[in-house]
Amino acid sequence: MKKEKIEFVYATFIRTSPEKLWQTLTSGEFSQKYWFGFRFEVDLRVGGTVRIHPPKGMEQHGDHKGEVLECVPNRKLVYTWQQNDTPEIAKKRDGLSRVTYELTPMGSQVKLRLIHENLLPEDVEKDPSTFKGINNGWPAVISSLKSLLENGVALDFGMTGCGTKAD
Amino acid sequence: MKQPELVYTTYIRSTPKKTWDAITKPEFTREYWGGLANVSDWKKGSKWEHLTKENEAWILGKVVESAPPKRLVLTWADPDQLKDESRVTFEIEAVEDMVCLVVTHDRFKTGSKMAEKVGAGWPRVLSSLKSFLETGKGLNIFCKHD
Repeated sequence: MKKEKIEFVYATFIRTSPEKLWQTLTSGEFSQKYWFGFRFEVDLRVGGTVRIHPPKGMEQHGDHKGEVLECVPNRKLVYTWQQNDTPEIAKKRDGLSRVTYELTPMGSQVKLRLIHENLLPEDVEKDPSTFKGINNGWPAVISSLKSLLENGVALDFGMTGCGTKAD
Repeated sequence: MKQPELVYTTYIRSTPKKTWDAITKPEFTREYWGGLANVSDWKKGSKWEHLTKENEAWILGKVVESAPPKRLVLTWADPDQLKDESRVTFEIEAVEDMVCLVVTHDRFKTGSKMAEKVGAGWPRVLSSLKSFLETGKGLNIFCKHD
């Protein structure tokens, strides 16, 4: 049976330096500000661990775990992403999914290209009124990161832990 | 072969009205859209133009749907290739103290040359729009890699 491989690609342009963007992407303290309160911790070397800790009240999401596959400071980070799957979905997985951050300096801006690949159709959420799903989650996280870098203040999604937008 | 479709979602700390105005008022689009203006009365059936400072149209089209400040649907074509027409939809939704802006560019003709161009263009323009609304200053959308 042919397996459908899904990938999600998202590009944004941020008025900042590659060094500041890299620092913000790889810092636990900054990630809590823009990543819905999740804390992203990474040991920046090939084989280094990645841990994404949920904030208080969202422990049901569990820790995401991963491993660094590539690390070029201020330019590229590739890491694996371990989903918290139900047993049915876990059976369909063909290996871990992979996240890539590519940083390209462009004068006073930096292009950030995010690629999340080796996904399943189940990782994509059709309902646009929630932040669940790779396609809904990443644009919110990256938009918030951009606001943090350009304004000093991340976006406030008013998350109460249920993952829905309306309130 | 499946027709390409671009969907770009961004969250902007702004209001639906300010976001609508930024897309539809020439004095605002010039600030973040590389100096180009979006010109129309934005009524259903009216034409719209994407004009340079010298009033040269880079894009032409018609307004298909207009429901300010939430939804705008336009046809989109290069004046030199009018048959290569596609469609752009702007959807603006209030979320907390922000808007969720979703831009969909679809209905490309088979073999469209436009599809490839806009894939690279929209992230630049929409990133610049977000910077404009949040900081008062857009980005240089024609910036090249260092």
